[in-house]
Amino acid sequence: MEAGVLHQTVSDVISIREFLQSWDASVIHDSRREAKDSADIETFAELMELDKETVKELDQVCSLDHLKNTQEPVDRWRILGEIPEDLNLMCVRFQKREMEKRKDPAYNMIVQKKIRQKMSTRMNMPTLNQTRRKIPPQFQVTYPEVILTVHIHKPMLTMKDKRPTLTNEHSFLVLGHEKLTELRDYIRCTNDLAIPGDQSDFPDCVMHNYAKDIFKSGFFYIEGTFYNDTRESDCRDYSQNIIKWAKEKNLGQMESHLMEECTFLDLKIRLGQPYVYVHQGDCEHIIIFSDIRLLSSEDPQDTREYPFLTFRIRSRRNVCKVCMTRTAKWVVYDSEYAPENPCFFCDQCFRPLHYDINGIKKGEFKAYKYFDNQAIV
Amino acid sequence: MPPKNYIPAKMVVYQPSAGVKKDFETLLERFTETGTVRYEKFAEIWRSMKMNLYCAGRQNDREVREFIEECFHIASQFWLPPSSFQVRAGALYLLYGLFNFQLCMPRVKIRVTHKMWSDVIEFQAQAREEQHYDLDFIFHKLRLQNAFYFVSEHRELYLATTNFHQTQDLLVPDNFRDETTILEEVFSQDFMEQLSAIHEQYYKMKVALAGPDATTPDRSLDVMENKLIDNITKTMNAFKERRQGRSSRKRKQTEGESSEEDQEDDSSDNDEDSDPTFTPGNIINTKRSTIKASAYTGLAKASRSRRHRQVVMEEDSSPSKMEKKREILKESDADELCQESVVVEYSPKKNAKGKPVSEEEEEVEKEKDHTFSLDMPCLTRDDNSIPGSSADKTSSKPLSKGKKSKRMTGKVLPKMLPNLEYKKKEKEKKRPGQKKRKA
Repeated sequence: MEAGVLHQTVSDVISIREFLQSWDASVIHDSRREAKDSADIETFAELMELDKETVKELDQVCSLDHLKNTQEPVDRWRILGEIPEDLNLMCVRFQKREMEKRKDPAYNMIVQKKIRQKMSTRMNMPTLNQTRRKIPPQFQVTYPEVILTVHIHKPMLTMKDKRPTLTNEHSFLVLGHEKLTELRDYIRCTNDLAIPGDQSDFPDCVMHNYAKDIFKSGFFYIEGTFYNDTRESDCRDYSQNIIKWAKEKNLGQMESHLMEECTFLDLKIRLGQPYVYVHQGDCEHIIIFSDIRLLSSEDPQDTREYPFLTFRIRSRRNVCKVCMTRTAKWVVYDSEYAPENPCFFCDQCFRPLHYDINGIKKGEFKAYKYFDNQAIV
Repeated sequence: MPPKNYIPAKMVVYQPSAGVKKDFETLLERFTETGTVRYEKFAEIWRSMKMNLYCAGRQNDREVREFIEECFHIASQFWLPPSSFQVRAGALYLLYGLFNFQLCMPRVKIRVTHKMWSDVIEFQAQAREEQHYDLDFIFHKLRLQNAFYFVSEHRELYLATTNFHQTQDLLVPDNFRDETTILEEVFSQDFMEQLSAIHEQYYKMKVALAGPDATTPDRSLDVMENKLIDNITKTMNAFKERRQGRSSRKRKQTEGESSEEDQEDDSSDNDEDSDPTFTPGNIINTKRSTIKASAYTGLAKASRSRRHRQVVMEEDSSPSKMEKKREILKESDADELCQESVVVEYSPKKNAKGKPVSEEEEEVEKEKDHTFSLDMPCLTRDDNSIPGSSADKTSSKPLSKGKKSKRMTGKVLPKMLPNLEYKKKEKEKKRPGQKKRKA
């Protein structure tokens, strides 16, 4: 059903549990061990089953110093900034030409945009502090463990005159032993925070009934299976209607499971394939798994840190149309004092403009609480 | 429909891995020439190539990271079968070097899939059996450094803005690629063979229909020409010749131009011919000049209403000649000149949106009306009709003072041609009194 919608590269179906089991013990031991740049001779002697003398000799023979041209340390930022004159490598020469081309600001902008798109997912690397902190034993990750990279996209805009655009909003690292619900709780969407109803009559006593407290249902659709969230008693099964509809249209067999009983290890996924997360009735987020790998000692070791946020979209916040400085907190419809319809206001500008001294509403308008994606989530 | 591998030149913005494969290949080639798998030999070659500075010039951390990921991806291909034992050993040393000399914190790791790993383990077992201790040592050292990510796919799979199968082919930049046409793909060898087989059978059927003893088909069945295949091949050959002819003519043209105008350009052209390996700047230069040349050869025919202002090709605009022109201009009567001829100044081409047309677009446009450019006169040195570069605006200054030049729009500037100058002089001879009116 979902195949071939987008131009992309997709892997075969991978069972995550099988992937984990395919690696033998020595590899898992490798991933658990902390990295050492200068290991002692004894470990080598043990690993290679040789005596220490030969290993010592080998250590000298295979030293990295033989690969250096000069004994001076390379200044990282100087090398990155400028290219030495006498360097004759092909890749460096191409890069030299590329740098010439980038002097054109228009071209440079395109390149930077491209790099940003490609790289942003991997930039928020866990720091050493995060990995070396003392962790209580119950929250320590257990090996062997799998890490998946998940990208959550903005809800698709399916307006008539607009082409739907796919924008990556958050990227997470999730552990294989985690439940799907843990990821669901971490997916932040402003539609969850929306407060339903017109608040213009009593702007001071806003009912803090977020949409997520009223409409609790949601599901993941992954590789022909619906994972419904049924933790609360008033959750609905969104999948039933879709399965029924798919049966009528002959779109193939679909199953439904419970989200809270399923861990990522139980999943069978295709990497690069767009799946969907639906909540609030029709807020549809495309989700894509891009990578599966074994957990290593450089990753965060505390289970509480997962799902680990590696990327978050940076967008402009919506500012108040009156002061143009503060973030918008109200969205107002049909107001005669507003320059546009609908219009955004901050709290400080909204009150004096629409209410008199006694706090009585001036004119007919509708006001809704607004949560800015950048300011709140 | 564009051919399968076709990517417009504009789309190829930045390929981090350009040239990397070539470097690795030369390194490993030189390593295999030594005939050993010793680390010292590898280190010698590595040092001589200064591979430890392979990250040089990558501007920031992001760029380095992406570049190194590409490097690992390419290098690990050599580490796997079907490479020979020696190449694989070289690739292991290469990865060791690349991993340790990367200018990136935290370090980028080498992605290893399950299949790769089992191949590698097999290779290491073989190395150990043959007592290549340095191979074994370095492999263990990499493992102790946690240099590997154990993954399920070679790359992260995410919605591809450009299909990475295509970018794989594009390790060679588009500048060095031959232009291909869709015609050659459509009329491939296979296709022609099939077509001829079908045609032959068709002909035989027609003969059989005519009767048992017939040698030629019935006249009433002549709906297809009999020499169809021959004709197609002939047309294709003619097309190829024409393409080659065009490119060689272009080269001739540019060489002629450069030799007269710019000595440096000429030498660069020769360089390109003799050494096709790597001279990016020169290639761009010649490309540009060919485009320019072809763009300036064509002149649009003026409409009937503007026939008194026929557009005429501008002559040589090299500085020495320009001075002469100015002298003549000062002497001559500007008003009369305007009546005689108007030369359009070649401002940079603009497309519908008003942005300057890029080289590629210009090239495409040129492709579109190539019959037009083919009909253009072939320019040689003797003709002295080489297209000039951008017009010299100073030459028009004295004219702007003239009465009639005020009527003219900004872009249309009067210019002179030698034959016109000649006429002018003749006229001046006839009417000597008018000579110093302007001065």
